[in-house]
Amino acid sequence: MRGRLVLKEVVSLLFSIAFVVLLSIPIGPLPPLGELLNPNGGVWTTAENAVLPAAEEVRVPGLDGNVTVLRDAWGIPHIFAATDHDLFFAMGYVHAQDRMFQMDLEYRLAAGRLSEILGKSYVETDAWMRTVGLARDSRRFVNTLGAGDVGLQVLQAYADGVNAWIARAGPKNMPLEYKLLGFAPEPWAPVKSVTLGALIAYGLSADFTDVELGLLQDGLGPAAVDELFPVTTPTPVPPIVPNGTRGGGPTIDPEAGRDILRRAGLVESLVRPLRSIGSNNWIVDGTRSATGRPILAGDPHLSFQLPALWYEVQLTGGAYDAYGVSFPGAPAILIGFNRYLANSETNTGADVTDFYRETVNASDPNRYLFRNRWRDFNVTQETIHVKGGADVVVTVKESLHGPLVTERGETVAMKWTGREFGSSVGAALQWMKARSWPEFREALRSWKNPAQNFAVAAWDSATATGTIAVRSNGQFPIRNNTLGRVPLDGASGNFEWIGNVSFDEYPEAVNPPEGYLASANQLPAGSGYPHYLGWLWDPGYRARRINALLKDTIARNGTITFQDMRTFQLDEVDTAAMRFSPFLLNATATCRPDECVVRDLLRAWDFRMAKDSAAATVWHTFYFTFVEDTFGDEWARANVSDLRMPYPDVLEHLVRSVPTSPWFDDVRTLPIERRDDILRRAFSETVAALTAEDGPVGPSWAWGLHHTRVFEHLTGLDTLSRGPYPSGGDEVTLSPAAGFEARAGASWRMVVNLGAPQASVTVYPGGQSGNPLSPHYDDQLALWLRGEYKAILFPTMPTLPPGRLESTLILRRA
Amino acid sequence: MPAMRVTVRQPWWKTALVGFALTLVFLAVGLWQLGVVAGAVAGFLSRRGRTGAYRGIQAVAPAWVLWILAISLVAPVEDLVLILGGILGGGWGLVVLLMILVPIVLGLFGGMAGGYLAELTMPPEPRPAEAVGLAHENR
Repeated sequence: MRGRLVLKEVVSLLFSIAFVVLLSIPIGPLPPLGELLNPNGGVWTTAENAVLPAAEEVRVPGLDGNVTVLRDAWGIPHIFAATDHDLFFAMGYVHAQDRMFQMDLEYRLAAGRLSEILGKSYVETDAWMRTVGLARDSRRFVNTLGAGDVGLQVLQAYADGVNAWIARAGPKNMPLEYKLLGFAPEPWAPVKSVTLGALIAYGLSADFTDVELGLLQDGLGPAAVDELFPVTTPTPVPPIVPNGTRGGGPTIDPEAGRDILRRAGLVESLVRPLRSIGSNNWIVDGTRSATGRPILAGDPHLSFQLPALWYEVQLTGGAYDAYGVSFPGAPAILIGFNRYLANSETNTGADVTDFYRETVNASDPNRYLFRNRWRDFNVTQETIHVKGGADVVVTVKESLHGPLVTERGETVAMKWTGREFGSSVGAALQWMKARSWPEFREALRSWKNPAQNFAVAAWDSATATGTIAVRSNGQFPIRNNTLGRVPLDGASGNFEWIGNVSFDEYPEAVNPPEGYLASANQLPAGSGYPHYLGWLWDPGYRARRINALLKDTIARNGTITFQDMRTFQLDEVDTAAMRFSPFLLNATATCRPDECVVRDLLRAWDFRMAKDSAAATVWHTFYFTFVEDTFGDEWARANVSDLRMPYPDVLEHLVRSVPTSPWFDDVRTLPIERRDDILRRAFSETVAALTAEDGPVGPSWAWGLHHTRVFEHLTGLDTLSRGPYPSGGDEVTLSPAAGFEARAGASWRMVVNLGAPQASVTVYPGGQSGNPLSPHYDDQLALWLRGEYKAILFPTMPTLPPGRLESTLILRRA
Repeated sequence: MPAMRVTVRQPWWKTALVGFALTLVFLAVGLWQLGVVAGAVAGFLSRRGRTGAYRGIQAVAPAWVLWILAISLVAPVEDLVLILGGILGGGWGLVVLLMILVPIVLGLFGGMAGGYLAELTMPPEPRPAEAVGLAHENR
């Protein structure tokens, strides 16, 4: 009897222990269930923290004085501090409070540390990011800054603020994602902000098209690359300078080229939020605006994500009094305004990346040839910690050109301006305080990467004078004997960077006679500009549309109103369709009855990519079929079908000016096809495909039924994502939405009323909070989807109007 | 005579209440794992293995569930359950099931262990006459 009791006791004790252990360890992808479901400290705190306390006082060490943070009805913090230090301390605190996981995850991506939290499937991604070396270079840069550096002081104050929040929140109050993944944030540090900045630069400016062009050149020939990927758009502007110098033989080993593209592609989905698909900004001056003062509109087109890419904030205190959007993890307002000046950026898209084919010593793989001398690669061992697995050591080799991005097939190094840091934070800190265009311009002196087209409007109420300007600003390398459009020989030393375009030579336009300026990632300078800046410019359809809208509205009404600026941002007219359509309609004048119905639809179309438009669906389907029918055969023959095809402006040029171009010939058939043959073929295929998919022309062909916008959570979890939502627009509309399932577009819309900035409007697709249970997780998304804006608050004193104050946080010096 | 032996123990709710209070204390200090100890204490006080299992459940599970219900009064717990259901892949039902099942099993095993320990460490059972006498006193 007693023996049985002992057995029962032992068994129940073992079961008790086993169950506690079972609840304490992760099972497969699931986090430890005990921690997760723990009533005090488990996931439930996510719900508890969804709404901030209406009034809260926190004592934190390290402050100069007290800081007041007022949250408005959108959860936007309006920070009032006495000193610069406290201002940025509080900025770090609220960034962490709302977006700690986002900051942490993006830093880990940049630093190649995702495997630590996500496991072995991210080792290769991490190895690539370690090879590129954003964190390594950032550490090097931060180590060069002296304690007296203002930028470093701000970065440190910001990091202290982040760490104050981490300490106060404790593991119990960490965001949901930490609990699901079973880790906690490490202390923040200035180098992490710099690394995040480097990630943004990587996303916006490190491009691998040189490798693609090299492979295309080897497949299709140099003449084809020059014709189809010209330095400048073929229609309105002739090339600035002749295309690049080439040696004989293949441009890049196909195995090496594809290895680079594959490895770079590993992080493509992860840096997608930062991959620019183009942006808009435009400004009208006081003579052309209905207010008599400049008006600025800006909408950077970046990928959609939740938590949102941007964080909206007012910073008032010390030397600052600014409003706008920041990237969580970095202490600066990048797009926004102060009481005197507003700025918005579009990506310049300059060619700031080159690839060098290194000659490696056959008997010593750690040596390479440069100018007839063998040199040692700089070798670094990077250790990647892997969750649930053994550490992985990655050997990173660097030549004087940069890190080796492949050693398969041949050895190729990547040279990129992003490795040569300026002080981007320093520049932003300076421009946030600028009161005039000259002051803003001076701030740009230390802005190196990514090169941006800065649209600026300034207004001095005292003198009633204003300025509008657009300036393409960044580090633009000057190459010796080459444009560097394809991989270069690294051994000879004949194709090196020999300097940079000087600051005063950057493209710049100030107060033009037209009274307005616009940038939409198009060619930054006209044919008279003496330097090569790049070639991968936007085809210019958005730029043409903005200029046409501004010009026509001024011609019609005399001025541009604030409302006009808002309306333009939502414009869905496809000017490419406008320019291609006459040729398409002409080529299909003779058609089958079912095709004629569709053709009539196109003929009556107003070129708006509206949700309810069937013609929009026809056009979009037709265009991509036409591209494939024109180039697909040659691409397949050259075995480069996985590589990019020409931009629409190049195709438009062929359609408009070279109807007998050999590119229109289908090399797989005996007869010689011409433009109209391919236009007809693509149109017939389009009608057949849509009919097969949706039946006869009718409501089922509506664009919104084929075309949606999706806002995916950083983790990819469906429950935390939003959409798909039926939507209008396409690749080239001012309100863009590329592809059938658009995952990018206007990530922030802002229209600023200079002289009365408090009367400005903004909106972005998401919300301030990273907590999916917070009302501010996606509260602006609904507004954004409806094409509406919110009126901002930009108080001079720490008070908000009645009914607009949601919560107050006082940070007191401990 | 097992029915007579039951009569010498504490009323059931007293043992469960002790375990319940202990569970709340352990949760408050952030040691959910000690829920098993709270269950064991309740089980031990009940003095029998099988009864201990019931008392363990009665001690631990209500504490967990009540705590979460209290949070739900001021926070969108129901939305969280939906989200978590989506993430775990089993829907809200799975979350509710786990939410209830985890403390039940924790209390069950703890209570059993405590109860059997009590049986092992208890003095020998009183003879029937003594037991009857005690039963009268307990009334």
